[in-house]
Amino acid sequence: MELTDLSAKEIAHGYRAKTFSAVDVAHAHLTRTDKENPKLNAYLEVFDDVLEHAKEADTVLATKGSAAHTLTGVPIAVKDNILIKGKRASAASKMLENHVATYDATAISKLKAAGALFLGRTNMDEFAMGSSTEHSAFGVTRNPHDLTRVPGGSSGGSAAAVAAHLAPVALGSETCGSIRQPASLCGLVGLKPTYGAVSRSGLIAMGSSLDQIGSFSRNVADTELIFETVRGHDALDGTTLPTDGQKKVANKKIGVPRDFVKDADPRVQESFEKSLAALSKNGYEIVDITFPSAPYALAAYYIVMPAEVSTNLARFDGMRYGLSYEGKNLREEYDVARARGFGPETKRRIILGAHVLSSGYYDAYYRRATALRGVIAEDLRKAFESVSYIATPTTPGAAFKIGEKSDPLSMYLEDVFAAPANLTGIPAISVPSAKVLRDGTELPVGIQFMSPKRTESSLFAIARDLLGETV
Amino acid sequence: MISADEVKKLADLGRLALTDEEVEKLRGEIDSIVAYIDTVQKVQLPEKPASSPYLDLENVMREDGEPHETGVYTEELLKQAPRRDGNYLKVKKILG
Repeated sequence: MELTDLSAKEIAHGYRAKTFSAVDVAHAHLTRTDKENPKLNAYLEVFDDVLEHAKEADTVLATKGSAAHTLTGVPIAVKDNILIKGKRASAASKMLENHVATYDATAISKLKAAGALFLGRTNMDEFAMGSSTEHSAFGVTRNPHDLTRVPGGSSGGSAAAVAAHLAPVALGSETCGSIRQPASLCGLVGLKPTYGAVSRSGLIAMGSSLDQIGSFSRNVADTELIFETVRGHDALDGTTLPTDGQKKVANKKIGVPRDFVKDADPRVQESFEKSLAALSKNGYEIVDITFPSAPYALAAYYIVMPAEVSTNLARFDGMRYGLSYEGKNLREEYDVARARGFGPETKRRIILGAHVLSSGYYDAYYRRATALRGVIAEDLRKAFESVSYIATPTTPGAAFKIGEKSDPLSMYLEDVFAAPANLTGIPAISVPSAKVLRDGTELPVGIQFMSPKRTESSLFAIARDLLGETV
Repeated sequence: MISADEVKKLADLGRLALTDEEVEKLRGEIDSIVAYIDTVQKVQLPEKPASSPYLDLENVMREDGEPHETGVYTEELLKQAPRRDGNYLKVKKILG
Protein backbone atom coordinates (compact mmCIF):
# COMPACT_ATOMS: atom_id res chain seq x y z
CA MET A 1 0.00 0.00 0.00
CA GLU A 2 1.42 3.34 -1.09
CA LEU A 3 0.63 6.52 0.83
CA THR A 4 -0.96 7.86 -2.35
CA ASP A 5 -3.51 5.01 -2.26
CA LEU A 6 -4.98 6.21 1.03
CA SER A 7 -8.20 8.14 1.39
CA ALA A 8 -8.31 11.45 3.29
CA LYS A 9 -9.80 9.69 6.31
CA GLU A 10 -7.18 6.94 6.22
CA ILE A 11 -4.46 9.59 6.07
CA ALA A 12 -6.02 11.30 9.11
CA HIS A 13 -6.05 7.98 11.00
CA GLY A 14 -2.42 7.35 10.05
CA TYR A 15 -1.38 10.72 11.46
CA ARG A 16 -3.10 9.96 14.74
CA ALA A 17 -1.57 6.48 14.93
CA LYS A 18 1.80 8.08 14.06
CA THR A 19 2.26 5.58 11.22
CA PHE A 20 3.48 8.38 8.95
CA SER A 21 3.76 12.16 8.97
CA ALA A 22 2.17 14.92 6.88
CA VAL A 23 5.61 15.48 5.33
CA ASP A 24 5.69 11.79 4.28
CA VAL A 25 2.22 12.07 2.70
CA ALA A 26 3.00 15.38 0.99
CA HIS A 27 6.27 13.99 -0.31
CA ALA A 28 4.57 10.85 -1.68
CA HIS A 29 1.99 12.91 -3.56
CA LEU A 30 4.58 15.33 -4.93
CA THR A 31 6.80 12.47 -6.12
CA ARG A 32 3.93 10.71 -7.85
CA THR A 33 2.77 13.99 -9.40
CA ASP A 34 6.29 14.68 -10.74
CA LYS A 35 6.15 11.34 -12.50
CA GLU A 36 2.52 11.24 -13.69
CA ASN A 37 1.51 14.84 -14.30
CA PRO A 38 3.60 15.40 -17.46
CA LYS A 39 1.44 12.83 -19.28
CA LEU A 40 -1.88 13.67 -17.59
CA ASN A 41 -1.70 17.50 -17.33
CA ALA A 42 -4.04 17.31 -14.33
CA TYR A 43 -2.24 20.08 -12.45
CA LEU A 44 -1.48 23.43 -14.07
CA GLU A 45 0.75 24.24 -11.13
CA VAL A 46 2.04 22.32 -8.14
CA PHE A 47 2.58 24.79 -5.29
CA ASP A 48 6.15 25.31 -4.08
CA ASP A 49 5.19 25.57 -0.40
CA VAL A 50 3.56 22.16 0.10
CA LEU A 51 6.35 20.65 2.21
CA GLU A 52 6.63 23.80 4.30
CA HIS A 53 2.90 23.63 5.12
CA ALA A 54 3.19 19.88 5.73
CA LYS A 55 5.81 20.57 8.41
CA GLU A 56 3.46 23.08 10.03
CA ALA A 57 0.68 20.47 9.94
CA ASP A 58 2.96 17.97 11.68
CA THR A 59 3.54 20.52 14.44
CA VAL A 60 -0.22 21.07 14.82
CA LEU A 61 -0.81 17.31 14.90
CA ALA A 62 1.92 16.88 17.53
CA THR A 63 0.50 19.59 19.80
CA LYS A 64 -3.25 19.14 19.31
CA GLY A 65 -3.26 15.37 18.84
CA SER A 66 -6.72 13.97 18.22
CA ALA A 67 -8.25 17.43 18.80
CA ALA A 68 -6.83 18.56 15.44
CA HIS A 69 -9.34 18.81 12.59
CA THR A 70 -9.59 15.60 10.53
CA LEU A 71 -8.26 17.48 7.49
CA THR A 72 -5.10 18.72 9.22
CA GLY A 73 -2.24 17.89 6.89
CA VAL A 74 -4.52 16.15 4.39
CA PRO A 75 -3.57 17.08 0.80
CA ILE A 76 -6.17 18.53 -1.51
CA ALA A 77 -6.10 19.70 -5.15
CA VAL A 78 -8.02 22.84 -6.11
CA LYS A 79 -9.68 23.73 -9.39
CA ASP A 80 -8.08 26.75 -11.05
CA ASN A 81 -11.21 28.92 -10.67
CA ILE A 82 -11.22 28.91 -6.84
CA LEU A 83 -9.13 31.69 -5.27
CA ILE A 84 -6.27 30.99 -2.88
CA LYS A 85 -4.72 34.26 -1.72
CA GLY A 86 -1.27 34.82 -3.20
CA LYS A 87 -1.58 31.96 -5.73
CA ARG A 88 -2.35 32.29 -9.37
CA ALA A 89 -5.97 31.60 -10.38
CA SER A 90 -6.37 31.60 -14.15
CA ALA A 91 -9.65 29.73 -14.78
CA ALA A 92 -7.46 28.03 -17.44
CA SER A 93 -7.75 31.19 -19.55
CA LYS A 94 -5.14 33.35 -21.19
CA MET A 95 -7.24 36.25 -19.91
CA LEU A 96 -6.16 35.44 -16.33
CA GLU A 97 -2.89 33.61 -17.01
CA ASN A 98 -0.90 35.86 -14.63
CA HIS A 99 -3.73 36.78 -12.28
CA VAL A 100 -2.83 36.35 -8.60
CA ALA A 101 -5.73 35.93 -6.16
CA THR A 102 -6.00 38.82 -3.72
CA TYR A 103 -8.20 36.97 -1.26
CA ASP A 104 -9.26 33.45 -0.25
CA ALA A 105 -12.50 31.92 -1.45
CA THR A 106 -14.68 31.13 1.56
CA ALA A 107 -14.35 27.39 0.85
CA ILE A 108 -10.56 27.88 0.94
CA SER A 109 -10.66 29.87 4.22
CA LYS A 110 -12.61 27.01 5.76
CA LEU A 111 -10.15 24.39 4.48
CA LYS A 112 -7.23 26.54 5.71
CA ALA A 113 -8.86 26.78 9.15
CA ALA A 114 -9.12 22.98 9.10
CA GLY A 115 -5.41 22.72 8.27
CA ALA A 116 -5.77 21.11 4.81
CA LEU A 117 -2.71 21.08 2.58
CA PHE A 118 -3.15 22.66 -0.87
CA LEU A 119 -1.16 20.68 -3.44
CA GLY A 120 -1.78 22.74 -6.55
CA ARG A 121 -4.30 24.11 -8.98
CA THR A 122 -5.92 21.82 -11.50
CA ASN A 123 -6.71 22.16 -15.18
CA MET A 124 -10.24 22.84 -16.42
CA ASP A 125 -12.19 24.03 -19.42
CA GLU A 126 -11.68 27.78 -19.77
CA PHE A 127 -13.91 29.63 -17.28
CA ALA A 128 -15.52 26.22 -16.55
CA MET A 129 -17.14 26.05 -19.99
CA GLY A 130 -16.93 22.56 -21.38
CA SER A 131 -17.20 18.86 -20.65
CA SER A 132 -13.74 17.57 -21.56
CA THR A 133 -10.99 20.09 -20.50
CA GLU A 134 -10.25 20.40 -24.23
CA HIS A 135 -11.25 24.06 -23.91
CA SER A 136 -8.40 24.82 -21.49
CA ALA A 137 -5.96 27.43 -22.81
CA PHE A 138 -3.17 25.28 -21.35
CA GLY A 139 -3.67 21.90 -23.02
CA VAL A 140 -6.06 19.01 -22.52
CA THR A 141 -6.06 16.79 -19.42
CA ARG A 142 -5.96 13.06 -20.12
CA ASN A 143 -8.12 10.40 -18.48
CA PRO A 144 -5.98 8.17 -16.22
CA HIS A 145 -8.08 5.14 -17.28
CA ASP A 146 -7.16 5.65 -20.96
CA LEU A 147 -4.78 8.41 -22.01
CA THR A 148 -6.43 8.77 -25.42
CA ARG A 149 -9.68 9.82 -23.75
CA VAL A 150 -10.89 12.95 -21.97
CA PRO A 151 -11.43 13.02 -18.19
CA GLY A 152 -14.64 15.01 -18.67
CA GLY A 153 -15.04 18.58 -17.57
CA SER A 154 -15.04 21.24 -16.75
CA SER A 155 -13.37 20.08 -13.51
CA GLY A 156 -11.36 17.48 -15.47
CA GLY A 157 -8.00 18.27 -13.86
CA SER A 158 -9.37 17.74 -10.36
CA ALA A 159 -11.01 14.45 -11.41
CA ALA A 160 -7.87 13.17 -13.16
CA ALA A 161 -5.70 14.13 -10.16
CA VAL A 162 -7.85 12.14 -7.72
CA ALA A 163 -8.32 9.18 -10.11
CA ALA A 164 -4.54 8.98 -10.71
CA HIS A 165 -3.86 9.22 -6.95
CA LEU A 166 -2.11 12.57 -7.28
CA ALA A 167 -4.43 13.78 -4.49
CA PRO A 168 -6.91 11.95 -2.22
CA VAL A 169 -9.53 14.67 -2.68
CA ALA A 170 -10.07 17.74 -4.85
CA LEU A 171 -12.36 20.75 -5.08
CA GLY A 172 -14.28 21.30 -8.28
CA SER A 173 -17.19 23.48 -9.30
CA GLU A 174 -20.43 22.89 -11.16
CA THR A 175 -22.59 25.07 -13.29
CA CYS A 176 -24.11 22.05 -15.07
CA GLY A 177 -22.46 18.69 -14.53
CA SER A 178 -18.88 19.92 -14.20
CA ILE A 179 -18.25 17.73 -11.15
CA ARG A 180 -20.63 14.83 -11.75
CA GLN A 181 -19.68 14.25 -15.40
CA PRO A 182 -15.88 14.03 -14.81
CA ALA A 183 -16.56 11.95 -11.68
CA SER A 184 -18.51 9.55 -13.91
CA LEU A 185 -15.81 9.42 -16.59
CA CYS A 186 -12.97 8.99 -14.07
CA GLY A 187 -14.69 6.50 -11.69
CA LEU A 188 -15.03 8.80 -8.67
CA VAL A 189 -17.61 10.03 -6.20
CA GLY A 190 -18.58 13.62 -7.10
CA LEU A 191 -21.04 15.85 -5.27
CA LYS A 192 -22.96 18.88 -6.53
CA PRO A 193 -24.37 20.34 -3.31
CA THR A 194 -27.70 22.15 -2.90
CA TYR A 195 -27.43 25.63 -4.42
CA GLY A 196 -26.48 27.86 -1.52
CA ALA A 197 -25.03 25.11 0.68
CA VAL A 198 -21.47 26.22 -0.12
CA SER A 199 -20.46 29.85 -0.52
CA ARG A 200 -19.57 31.02 -4.04
CA SER A 201 -17.40 33.84 -2.69
CA GLY A 202 -14.03 33.51 -4.41
CA LEU A 203 -15.27 31.17 -7.12
CA ILE A 204 -14.70 32.83 -10.51
CA ALA A 205 -18.29 33.37 -11.66
CA MET A 206 -19.75 31.68 -14.74
CA GLY A 207 -23.52 31.29 -14.26
CA SER A 208 -24.24 32.81 -10.86
CA SER A 209 -27.72 31.31 -10.41
CA LEU A 210 -26.22 27.85 -11.06
CA ASP A 211 -22.59 27.83 -9.84
CA GLN A 212 -21.73 25.70 -6.82
CA ILE A 213 -18.47 24.37 -5.34
CA GLY A 214 -18.25 20.63 -4.68
CA SER A 215 -15.67 17.89 -4.46
CA PHE A 216 -14.19 14.64 -5.81
CA SER A 217 -12.94 11.65 -3.87
CA ARG A 218 -12.45 7.91 -4.22
CA ASN A 219 -14.98 7.12 -1.49
CA VAL A 220 -18.14 8.56 0.00
CA ALA A 221 -16.68 9.37 3.44
CA ASP A 222 -14.16 11.84 2.00
CA THR A 223 -16.81 13.64 -0.06
CA GLU A 224 -18.89 14.00 3.09
CA LEU A 225 -15.87 15.24 5.04
CA ILE A 226 -15.08 17.96 2.48
CA PHE A 227 -18.74 18.98 2.18
CA GLU A 228 -19.15 19.29 5.95
CA THR A 229 -15.96 21.39 6.11
CA VAL A 230 -16.70 23.88 3.33
CA ARG A 231 -20.47 24.33 3.66
CA GLY A 232 -22.31 26.97 5.67
CA HIS A 233 -23.85 30.42 5.61
CA ASP A 234 -21.51 33.17 4.44
CA ALA A 235 -22.12 36.93 4.66
CA LEU A 236 -20.02 37.26 1.48
CA ASP A 237 -22.56 35.28 -0.59
CA GLY A 238 -26.16 36.43 -0.20
CA THR A 239 -27.45 33.20 -1.75
CA THR A 240 -25.97 30.93 0.92
CA LEU A 241 -28.46 29.03 3.05
CA PRO A 242 -28.50 28.99 6.85
CA THR A 243 -25.85 26.64 8.23
CA ASP A 244 -28.52 24.65 10.08
CA GLY A 245 -31.56 23.19 8.37
CA GLN A 246 -30.21 20.05 6.73
CA LYS A 247 -32.80 17.31 6.28
CA LYS A 248 -33.08 13.61 5.66
CA VAL A 249 -35.34 11.85 3.16
CA ALA A 250 -38.28 9.81 4.47
CA ASN A 251 -37.73 6.41 2.87
CA LYS A 252 -35.71 4.23 0.51
CA LYS A 253 -37.81 4.77 -2.62
CA ILE A 254 -35.95 5.53 -5.85
CA GLY A 255 -37.82 6.98 -8.83
CA VAL A 256 -36.52 6.29 -12.33
CA PRO A 257 -37.71 8.56 -15.15
CA ARG A 258 -37.61 5.85 -17.84
CA ASP A 259 -38.45 8.16 -20.75
CA PHE A 260 -35.52 10.37 -19.84
CA VAL A 261 -32.85 7.67 -19.32
CA LYS A 262 -33.60 5.75 -22.52
CA ASP A 263 -31.35 8.07 -24.51
CA ALA A 264 -28.19 6.87 -22.75
CA ASP A 265 -25.79 4.48 -24.51
CA PRO A 266 -27.12 0.89 -24.14
CA ARG A 267 -23.96 -0.17 -22.27
CA VAL A 268 -24.47 2.69 -19.84
CA GLN A 269 -28.11 1.67 -19.35
CA GLU A 270 -26.98 -1.88 -18.62
CA SER A 271 -24.55 -0.59 -15.98
CA PHE A 272 -27.31 1.61 -14.56
CA GLU A 273 -29.68 -1.37 -14.25
CA LYS A 274 -26.99 -3.39 -12.44
CA SER A 275 -26.64 -0.64 -9.84
CA LEU A 276 -30.41 -0.39 -9.42
CA ALA A 277 -30.61 -4.17 -8.97
CA ALA A 278 -27.89 -4.02 -6.32
CA LEU A 279 -29.79 -1.30 -4.45
CA SER A 280 -33.01 -3.26 -4.76
CA LYS A 281 -31.32 -6.20 -2.99
CA ASN A 282 -30.18 -3.72 -0.37
CA GLY A 283 -33.70 -2.72 0.69
CA TYR A 284 -34.42 0.04 -1.80
CA GLU A 285 -37.65 0.13 -3.76
CA ILE A 286 -37.35 1.10 -7.42
CA VAL A 287 -40.38 2.70 -9.08
CA ASP A 288 -40.97 4.31 -12.46
CA ILE A 289 -41.81 8.00 -12.37
CA THR A 290 -42.71 10.60 -14.96
CA PHE A 291 -40.56 13.69 -15.30
CA PRO A 292 -42.09 15.33 -18.39
CA SER A 293 -39.98 18.50 -18.39
CA ALA A 294 -36.63 16.74 -17.91
CA PRO A 295 -35.68 16.45 -21.60
CA TYR A 296 -36.05 20.24 -21.97
CA ALA A 297 -33.81 21.10 -19.03
CA LEU A 298 -30.58 21.20 -21.04
CA ALA A 299 -32.09 23.49 -23.68
CA ALA A 300 -33.27 25.84 -20.92
CA TYR A 301 -29.78 25.66 -19.43
CA TYR A 302 -28.23 26.69 -22.75
CA ILE A 303 -30.32 29.86 -22.58
CA VAL A 304 -29.91 30.79 -18.92
CA MET A 305 -26.19 30.00 -18.70
CA PRO A 306 -24.94 31.95 -21.78
CA ALA A 307 -27.07 34.91 -20.65
CA GLU A 308 -25.31 34.84 -17.28
CA VAL A 309 -21.91 34.19 -18.93
CA SER A 310 -22.17 37.19 -21.22
CA THR A 311 -23.00 39.30 -18.17
CA ASN A 312 -20.41 37.85 -15.77
CA LEU A 313 -17.58 37.94 -18.29
CA ALA A 314 -18.22 41.59 -19.15
CA ARG A 315 -15.92 42.44 -16.23
CA PHE A 316 -12.85 41.23 -18.13
CA ASP A 317 -11.85 44.45 -19.82
CA GLY A 318 -8.06 44.40 -19.43
CA MET A 319 -8.13 47.57 -17.35
CA ARG A 320 -7.91 46.45 -13.72
CA TYR A 321 -6.43 42.96 -14.05
CA GLY A 322 -5.99 40.26 -16.61
CA LEU A 323 -4.72 40.36 -20.15
CA SER A 324 -4.48 43.86 -21.56
CA TYR A 325 -3.82 45.40 -24.93
CA GLU A 326 -2.60 48.91 -25.68
CA GLY A 327 -4.59 50.18 -28.63
CA LYS A 328 -5.42 53.49 -30.21
CA ASN A 329 -8.58 54.00 -28.15
CA LEU A 330 -10.40 52.49 -25.19
CA ARG A 331 -12.86 50.57 -27.32
CA GLU A 332 -10.13 48.87 -29.32
CA GLU A 333 -8.37 47.97 -26.07
CA TYR A 334 -11.50 46.19 -24.82
CA ASP A 335 -12.22 44.40 -28.08
CA VAL A 336 -8.69 43.15 -28.71
CA ALA A 337 -7.91 42.19 -25.08
CA ARG A 338 -11.08 40.11 -24.98
CA ALA A 339 -10.48 38.60 -28.41
CA ARG A 340 -6.95 37.55 -27.38
CA GLY A 341 -7.85 36.54 -23.83
CA PHE A 342 -10.87 34.33 -24.51
CA GLY A 343 -10.84 30.99 -26.33
CA PRO A 344 -13.39 29.83 -28.93
CA GLU A 345 -15.92 28.23 -26.53
CA THR A 346 -15.95 31.28 -24.27
CA LYS A 347 -16.50 33.57 -27.27
CA ARG A 348 -19.28 31.29 -28.52
CA ARG A 349 -21.14 31.52 -25.22
CA ILE A 350 -20.72 35.31 -24.95
CA ILE A 351 -22.19 35.68 -28.45
CA LEU A 352 -24.99 33.23 -27.67
CA GLY A 353 -25.75 35.07 -24.43
CA ALA A 354 -25.94 38.40 -26.24
CA HIS A 355 -28.27 36.73 -28.76
CA VAL A 356 -30.76 35.26 -26.26
CA LEU A 357 -30.87 38.53 -24.32
CA SER A 358 -31.41 40.67 -27.44
CA SER A 359 -34.60 42.69 -27.51
CA GLY A 360 -37.09 40.78 -29.63
CA TYR A 361 -35.69 37.42 -28.47
CA TYR A 362 -35.85 37.96 -24.73
CA ASP A 363 -39.42 36.67 -24.31
CA ALA A 364 -38.89 33.66 -26.58
CA TYR A 365 -35.69 32.60 -24.82
CA TYR A 366 -34.67 33.98 -21.47
CA ARG A 367 -38.14 34.58 -20.06
CA ARG A 368 -39.34 31.20 -21.31
CA ALA A 369 -36.29 29.37 -19.98
CA THR A 370 -36.75 31.00 -16.60
CA ALA A 371 -40.42 29.91 -16.54
CA LEU A 372 -39.29 26.42 -17.56
CA ARG A 373 -37.02 26.29 -14.51
CA GLY A 374 -40.17 26.76 -12.45
CA VAL A 375 -41.91 23.92 -14.35
CA ILE A 376 -38.97 21.57 -13.76
CA ALA A 377 -38.92 22.49 -10.06
CA GLU A 378 -42.66 21.72 -9.89
CA ASP A 379 -42.19 18.34 -11.64
CA LEU A 380 -39.46 17.50 -9.12
CA ARG A 381 -41.59 18.60 -6.18
CA LYS A 382 -44.36 16.27 -7.34
CA ALA A 383 -41.93 13.40 -7.87
CA PHE A 384 -40.42 13.84 -4.42
CA GLU A 385 -43.88 13.51 -2.87
CA SER A 386 -43.73 9.79 -3.67
CA VAL A 387 -40.00 8.99 -3.90
CA SER A 388 -36.91 10.06 -1.94
CA TYR A 389 -34.40 9.81 -4.73
CA ILE A 390 -34.39 10.15 -8.51
CA ALA A 391 -31.79 8.03 -10.30
CA THR A 392 -30.40 8.39 -13.83
CA PRO A 393 -27.09 7.52 -15.44
CA THR A 394 -24.72 10.44 -14.72
CA THR A 395 -23.64 10.69 -18.35
CA PRO A 396 -25.05 9.34 -21.62
CA GLY A 397 -21.76 7.55 -22.36
CA ALA A 398 -18.34 6.64 -20.98
CA ALA A 399 -15.23 8.78 -21.59
CA PHE A 400 -14.92 9.79 -25.24
CA LYS A 401 -11.76 10.20 -27.30
CA ILE A 402 -9.87 13.48 -27.30
CA GLY A 403 -11.15 15.38 -30.35
CA GLU A 404 -14.20 13.14 -30.78
CA LYS A 405 -16.79 15.80 -29.95
CA SER A 406 -15.57 18.73 -32.05
CA ASP A 407 -19.12 19.89 -32.76
CA PRO A 408 -20.17 22.16 -29.84
CA LEU A 409 -23.70 20.76 -29.58
CA SER A 410 -22.54 17.14 -29.26
CA MET A 411 -20.35 18.26 -26.35
CA TYR A 412 -23.27 20.09 -24.71
CA LEU A 413 -25.40 16.92 -24.78
CA GLU A 414 -22.94 15.30 -22.32
CA ASP A 415 -24.75 17.18 -19.55
CA VAL A 416 -28.33 16.22 -20.44
CA PHE A 417 -28.82 14.30 -17.16
CA ALA A 418 -27.06 16.96 -15.09
CA ALA A 419 -29.21 19.94 -16.02
CA PRO A 420 -32.37 19.43 -13.86
CA ALA A 421 -30.40 19.55 -10.58
CA ASN A 422 -28.51 22.73 -11.49
CA LEU A 423 -31.57 24.56 -12.80
CA THR A 424 -33.57 23.86 -9.66
CA GLY A 425 -30.81 23.93 -7.03
CA ILE A 426 -31.29 20.39 -5.69
CA PRO A 427 -28.24 18.32 -4.69
CA ALA A 428 -26.98 15.39 -6.77
CA ILE A 429 -24.19 12.88 -6.46
CA SER A 430 -22.41 10.68 -8.99
CA VAL A 431 -21.25 7.31 -7.73
CA PRO A 432 -19.21 4.73 -9.71
CA SER A 433 -21.50 2.16 -11.37
CA ALA A 434 -20.45 -1.05 -13.18
CA LYS A 435 -17.70 -0.44 -15.76
CA VAL A 436 -18.48 -0.58 -19.48
CA LEU A 437 -16.40 -1.91 -22.36
CA ARG A 438 -15.51 0.49 -25.16
CA ASP A 439 -13.06 -0.41 -27.92
CA GLY A 440 -11.63 -3.17 -25.72
CA THR A 441 -11.04 -0.88 -22.74
CA GLU A 442 -12.97 -1.09 -19.48
CA LEU A 443 -14.15 2.39 -18.61
CA PRO A 444 -15.93 3.74 -15.55
CA VAL A 445 -19.35 5.36 -15.67
CA GLY A 446 -21.43 6.78 -12.87
CA ILE A 447 -24.98 6.54 -11.60
CA GLN A 448 -26.55 9.77 -10.43
CA PHE A 449 -28.89 10.29 -7.49
CA MET A 450 -30.83 13.49 -6.99
CA SER A 451 -32.76 14.31 -3.82
CA PRO A 452 -34.63 17.29 -2.34
CA LYS A 453 -32.76 20.41 -1.27
CA ARG A 454 -30.55 20.07 1.79
CA THR A 455 -30.68 16.26 1.95
CA GLU A 456 -27.00 15.65 1.12
CA SER A 457 -26.68 13.28 4.08
CA SER A 458 -29.26 11.02 2.41
CA LEU A 459 -27.24 11.10 -0.83
CA PHE A 460 -24.20 9.96 1.15
CA ALA A 461 -26.31 7.16 2.66
CA ILE A 462 -27.49 5.76 -0.69
CA ALA A 463 -23.98 6.15 -2.16
CA ARG A 464 -22.52 4.18 0.77
CA ASP A 465 -25.14 1.47 0.35
CA LEU A 466 -24.31 1.12 -3.34
CA LEU A 467 -20.55 0.98 -2.80
CA GLY A 468 -20.79 -1.17 0.34
CA GLU A 469 -18.91 1.48 2.29
CA THR A 470 -19.41 1.08 6.03
CA VAL A 471 -17.36 3.94 7.51
CA MET B 1 -29.26 31.14 -41.11
CA ILE B 2 -28.02 33.93 -38.84
CA SER B 3 -26.28 36.54 -41.00
CA ALA B 4 -22.65 37.62 -40.75
CA ASP B 5 -23.83 41.10 -39.85
CA GLU B 6 -25.95 39.76 -37.00
CA VAL B 7 -22.96 37.86 -35.59
CA LYS B 8 -20.82 40.98 -35.93
CA LYS B 9 -23.46 43.00 -34.10
CA LEU B 10 -23.50 40.46 -31.24
CA ALA B 11 -19.68 40.47 -31.12
CA ASP B 12 -19.81 44.25 -30.96
CA LEU B 13 -22.20 44.07 -28.00
CA GLY B 14 -19.89 41.54 -26.34
CA ARG B 15 -16.81 43.71 -27.01
CA LEU B 16 -15.09 41.01 -29.01
CA ALA B 17 -12.96 41.69 -32.08
CA LEU B 18 -13.66 38.67 -34.32
CA THR B 19 -11.93 37.71 -37.56
CA ASP B 20 -14.03 36.99 -40.66
CA GLU B 21 -13.22 33.27 -40.30
CA GLU B 22 -14.48 33.31 -36.71
CA VAL B 23 -17.68 35.04 -37.81
CA GLU B 24 -18.30 32.44 -40.52
CA LYS B 25 -17.65 29.52 -38.16
CA LEU B 26 -19.90 31.04 -35.50
CA ARG B 27 -22.77 31.46 -37.95
CA GLY B 28 -23.10 27.70 -38.43
CA GLU B 29 -22.52 26.90 -34.77
CA ILE B 30 -24.97 29.48 -33.43
CA ASP B 31 -27.56 28.19 -35.90
CA SER B 32 -27.32 24.60 -34.70
CA ILE B 33 -27.30 25.66 -31.03
CA VAL B 34 -30.29 27.96 -31.52
CA ALA B 35 -32.18 25.13 -33.28
CA TYR B 36 -31.55 23.03 -30.18
CA ILE B 37 -32.53 25.64 -27.58
CA ASP B 38 -35.65 26.38 -29.61
CA THR B 39 -37.08 23.09 -28.26
CA VAL B 40 -38.10 25.10 -25.17
CA GLN B 41 -40.90 26.53 -27.33
CA LYS B 42 -42.54 23.06 -27.31
CA VAL B 43 -43.15 22.96 -23.57
CA GLN B 44 -46.60 23.86 -22.41
CA LEU B 45 -46.12 26.48 -19.71
CA PRO B 46 -48.74 26.92 -16.98
CA GLU B 47 -51.11 29.82 -17.61
CA LYS B 48 -49.76 31.62 -14.58
CA PRO B 49 -46.09 30.71 -14.53
CA ALA B 50 -44.18 31.24 -11.32
CA SER B 51 -42.76 34.75 -11.31
CA SER B 52 -39.37 33.34 -10.41
CA PRO B 53 -37.92 29.85 -10.15
CA TYR B 54 -36.15 30.90 -6.96
CA LEU B 55 -39.25 30.72 -4.82
CA ASP B 56 -37.33 29.90 -1.70
CA LEU B 57 -34.73 32.65 -2.09
CA GLU B 58 -35.02 36.10 -0.61
CA ASN B 59 -33.03 39.28 -0.93
CA VAL B 60 -30.31 39.68 1.65
CA MET B 61 -29.55 43.13 3.00
CA ARG B 62 -26.86 44.36 5.32
CA GLU B 63 -26.59 47.53 7.36
CA ASP B 64 -24.80 50.42 5.70
CA GLY B 65 -21.27 50.77 6.99
CA GLU B 66 -17.63 50.32 6.18
CA PRO B 67 -16.96 46.66 5.40
CA HIS B 68 -13.27 47.24 6.10
CA GLU B 69 -10.74 49.97 6.79
CA THR B 70 -10.15 52.19 3.75
CA GLY B 71 -7.08 51.34 1.72
CA VAL B 72 -6.16 47.97 3.24
CA TYR B 73 -6.58 46.16 -0.09
CA THR B 74 -5.52 48.98 -2.41
CA GLU B 75 -1.93 47.96 -3.05
CA GLU B 76 -2.76 44.29 -3.46
CA LEU B 77 -5.51 45.01 -5.97
CA LEU B 78 -3.51 47.59 -7.90
CA LYS B 79 -0.59 45.17 -8.20
CA GLN B 80 -2.79 43.30 -10.69
CA ALA B 81 -3.31 46.39 -12.86
CA PRO B 82 -1.71 46.27 -16.29
CA ARG B 83 -1.04 50.04 -16.20
CA ARG B 84 -1.14 52.32 -13.17
CA ASP B 85 -0.11 55.75 -12.05
CA GLY B 86 0.31 55.79 -8.28
CA ASN B 87 -3.03 54.70 -6.86
CA TYR B 88 -4.83 55.29 -10.17
CA LEU B 89 -5.52 52.88 -12.99
CA LYS B 90 -4.19 54.28 -16.23
CA VAL B 91 -6.71 54.05 -19.08
CA LYS B 92 -7.28 55.77 -22.40
CA LYS B 93 -9.06 59.08 -22.56
CA ILE B 94 -12.80 58.58 -23.09
CA LEU B 95 -13.90 62.20 -23.50
CA GLY B 96 -12.65 64.31 -26.37
